Amino acid sequence: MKNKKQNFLLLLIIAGIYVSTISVAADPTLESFSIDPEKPAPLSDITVTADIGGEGITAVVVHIKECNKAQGVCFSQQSGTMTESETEEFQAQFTLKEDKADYIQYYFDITINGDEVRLLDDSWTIDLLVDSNNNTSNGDNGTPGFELIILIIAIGVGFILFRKKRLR
Amino acid sequence: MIIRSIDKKPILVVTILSLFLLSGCLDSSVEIKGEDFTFITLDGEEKHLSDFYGKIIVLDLMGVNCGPCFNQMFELKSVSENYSSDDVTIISIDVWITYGETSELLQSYLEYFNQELGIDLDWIFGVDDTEGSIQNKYATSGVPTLYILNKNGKIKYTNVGYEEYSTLASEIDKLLS
Repeated sequence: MKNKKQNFLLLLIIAGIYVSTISVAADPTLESFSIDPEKPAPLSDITVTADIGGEGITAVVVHIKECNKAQGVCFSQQSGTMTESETEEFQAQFTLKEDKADYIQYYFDITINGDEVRLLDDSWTIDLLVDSNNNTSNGDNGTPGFELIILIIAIGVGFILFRKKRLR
Repeated sequence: MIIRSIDKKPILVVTILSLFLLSGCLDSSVEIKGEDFTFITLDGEEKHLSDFYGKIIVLDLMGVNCGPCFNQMFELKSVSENYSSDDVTIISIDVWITYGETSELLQSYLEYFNQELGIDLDWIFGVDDTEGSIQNKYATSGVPTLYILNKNGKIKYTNVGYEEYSTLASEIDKLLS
């Protein structure tokens, strides 16, 4: 009787360990993320390195979105398959494409034990090194209109003609 | 000679004034008719932008994995709540299909809003094609890109980036008045 109880308990423990192992494997986590250079400039080359926790990871794809905070826009997205380094971290290289971007946002698609899992968090962003004078113009604001240019030309011509007349 | 100088002055004044007034007629914001396009709704129906002429259209070109687009949904929800569907149609099109997004992803996005945030995004949602036909015409500068078209399908407002409800409402009110 005692043996049966012990065996049952042992079975429970083994089952518990097995289930928890599966749970860990099914939920990859982003242990750390770094970017080189630490604060890249728009249009620069970057290397992203991610330490992804989890057993049974066979593929990691990183997606990088280039966005502008003030404008509240994301311009484009790039995706890259990450390669595993000797330190078991995953790396990928990109060339940033958007000159008006001031931050990048990243997320991952991870293939783990045959299933695809998306790792995504709104807080996963990296600020880019931008020139503080690099303000984006919003369409027509700040540039002289066609009407104003015509008026200036008309006033100029009128002034020249008036002066010519006065000099005679 | 005195007669000539008297003649020239009014002509000069009239010329300057005419140029000034004429330039006002040459509206630099040329009215553009929204080029028609085809999209597939989440119900699998093929629709055209022109199917919605006759009402004011708020056209939202977006991406699921776009942070500012997510925030834009709240502002569009306000539009949906404050304007009758008899007057205003909102259409959100996922144009990041070219970046691998799918109608299934868009559907789960709506479900997230509904189930997790308790917000029913009760307007028309659709997807671009894999070639990015709509993106290449309407969203070349990024997402979200917003357009407001009048009842005749003419574009009356454009904005690249997140836009607040108050501005959208102001533009819609102009078209309704």
